[in-house]
Amino acid sequence: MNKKSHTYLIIATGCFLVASGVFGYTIYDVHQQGVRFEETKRLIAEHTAKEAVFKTVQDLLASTKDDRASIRSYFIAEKETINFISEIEKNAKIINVILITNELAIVPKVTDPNGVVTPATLAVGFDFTGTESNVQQFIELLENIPYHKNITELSFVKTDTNLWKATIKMGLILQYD
Amino acid sequence: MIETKDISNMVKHILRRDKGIADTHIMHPTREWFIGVGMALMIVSAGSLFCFYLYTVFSGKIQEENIIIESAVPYQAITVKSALELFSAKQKKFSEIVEKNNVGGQAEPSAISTSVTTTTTTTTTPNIPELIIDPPPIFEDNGTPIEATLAP
Repeated sequence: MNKKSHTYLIIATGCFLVASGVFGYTIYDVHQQGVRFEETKRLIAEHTAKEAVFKTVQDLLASTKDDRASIRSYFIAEKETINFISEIEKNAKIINVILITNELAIVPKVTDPNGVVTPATLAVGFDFTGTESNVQQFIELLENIPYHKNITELSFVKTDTNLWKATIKMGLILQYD
Repeated sequence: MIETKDISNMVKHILRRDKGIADTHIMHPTREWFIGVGMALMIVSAGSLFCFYLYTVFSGKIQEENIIIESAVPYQAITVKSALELFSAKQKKFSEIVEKNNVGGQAEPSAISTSVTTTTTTTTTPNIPELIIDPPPIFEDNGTPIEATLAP
């Protein structure tokens, strides 16, 4: 191999090395772009998912508005307490029983150490007297008060005047603010 | 007689003859053309294979990592529906009881409503044992409660 051929070989090798270097850098750049693409794709996926959840919640809130209003109406509001007692007293008159309200208190919300929340309740207690039929009807009426409640105590006795005297205590769950 | 010097000359002559005629051409276009084309083909093939490898790797990743949409906020529609039905029925029953007793007009005068501080006029006899029943359902019919038990 003469000197000229040797020069050509060196130049060709140099060009090959430069081309290989450019090729390698291109591959590295493609890889980096791929990594960036993955991160961007993940970010877009998260945003899309959050957007979808947000839209679902919005739709849910819109579609359940009436149901939520209905359910809310089945929890007594604190400001309706007096009206509730008045309504019960009015119904007692209608059913013809003698009614005494012996308890009316608001039991505040309690959160135990485990994080379990006991909602605030309106504790009410009534003594009422009437005929057997009327007492039964009034108990049934109290049972069917359209509020979410727990009847904690119920007892009744028959008096010597052939009347029945009953006592009932219940806790009505108050509306959340 | 052949001497060592003669043998040496003969070997030199033979070796010189085997070298043949020296190549006087600087370039071999055909050979170098095929070498160049062969190398180019090799590089293009290797690049194509690598690009195909990259394509399969990234396309596989895209397929694997499909967008996973988080499940929507759980809404217990069945529970809500049953609760609404239950309370609707209770409300209806409540209204029925009031309506049934309200047909004859408002309360009789004997029905007195009192507040907490009012003294009751009802009388109780201590000798009559108190009947205690479990909470609802209390009265399945209009008769005396069946499950009533005597208090201790």
